[in-house]
Amino acid sequence: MIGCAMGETTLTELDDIEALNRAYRARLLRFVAYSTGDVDLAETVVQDCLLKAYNGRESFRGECSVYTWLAHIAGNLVRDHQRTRRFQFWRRVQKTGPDLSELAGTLASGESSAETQMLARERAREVSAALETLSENQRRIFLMRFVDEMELQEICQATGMRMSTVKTHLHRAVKAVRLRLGGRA
Amino acid sequence: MEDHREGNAVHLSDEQFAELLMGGSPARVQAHLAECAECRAEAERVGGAIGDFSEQSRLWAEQWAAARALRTAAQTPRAERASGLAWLVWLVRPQAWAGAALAIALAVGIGVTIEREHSRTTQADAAKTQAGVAAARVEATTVQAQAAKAQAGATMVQTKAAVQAEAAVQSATLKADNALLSAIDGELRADESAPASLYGLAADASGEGTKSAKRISN
Repeated sequence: MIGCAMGETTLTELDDIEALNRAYRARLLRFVAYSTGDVDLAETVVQDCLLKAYNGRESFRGECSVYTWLAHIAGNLVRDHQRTRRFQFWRRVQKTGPDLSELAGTLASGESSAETQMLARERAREVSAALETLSENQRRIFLMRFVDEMELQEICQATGMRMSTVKTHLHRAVKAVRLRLGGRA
Repeated sequence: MEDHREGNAVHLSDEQFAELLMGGSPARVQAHLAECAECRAEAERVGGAIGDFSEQSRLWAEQWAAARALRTAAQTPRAERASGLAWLVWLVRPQAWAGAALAIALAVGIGVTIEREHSRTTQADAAKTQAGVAAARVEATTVQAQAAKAQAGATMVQTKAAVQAEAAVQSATLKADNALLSAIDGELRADESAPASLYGLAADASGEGTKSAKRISN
């Protein structure tokens, strides 16, 4: 468990589950949904994660950011779910990752043209497809770094991995995405 | 850190490329990008794609979370209504009435069945009780019969004793009567000798000529 010396702001944030929900739900949901490829599971994990964090806020010692702590909890919950045979079954039967193509209209690009938006959607879809070819750890670390924009040290704290391990996973993930996007092998 | 060689050109290695995408840009990498249009174009394409993915996934997550919040907000008043005016909502629902009717019918059916079963049980109990009473009566009758038999036995014993006593009394009376008759007979014989001698009559030695008192016997 990650611990921290709690600051006043952090204490207030953790003591109010509604504030936790408002501040971190969407971010956690994105991370878990793209980590697992399962939106329903992501909903469940995020709910459990926020509740677990709130109930266990006494153990948070402030040695990392709240989000890093939450990502750590969420990662453990995802692993727990993925270990279950039921999840393995449904994972094989139905890969239900968030469909980015349905989000075409949500792309906030009021100034960009329809063609630019279409190209952006296509590129995002390619990245999404590349993520499906990654291992669980590679995908999780890639998302933490490039989607959540976490520092490498924070990723180490959230995953419990050494820096060298994190970098290795990240390099392999970037290479896979590059190849998918037509880069050099 | 090794450069990636492709033909005669030297390009960024995977590690350098990853470092570049992660925001690290050592002078050597920057120098290479300034000279290599191919690596620069690839860095822009991959970096842009990852940026697009990040942006779209962020928007998707925010919309999803907002939609969930709306769903939750929409469910909360419904829950409050359900708690406060549930009975009113229930009244205007035909399904609720149908459900209630079904429940009542089931309850009545179950009640009737239970009552019937109860009646059967009661009747069976009554029959059993009657049988018990009859058995008790039979037993009582048997006991009475035995008592009567015993009484009859006792009566017979009493009767026998009485008969014996009466016989004894009769026997004693008979003996007394016979004794009295014998005494009377003796007196009569003594009176008869004097008149016979007077008139010259000879007395019969066997005594046959004299009358004696008749003896009584049973």
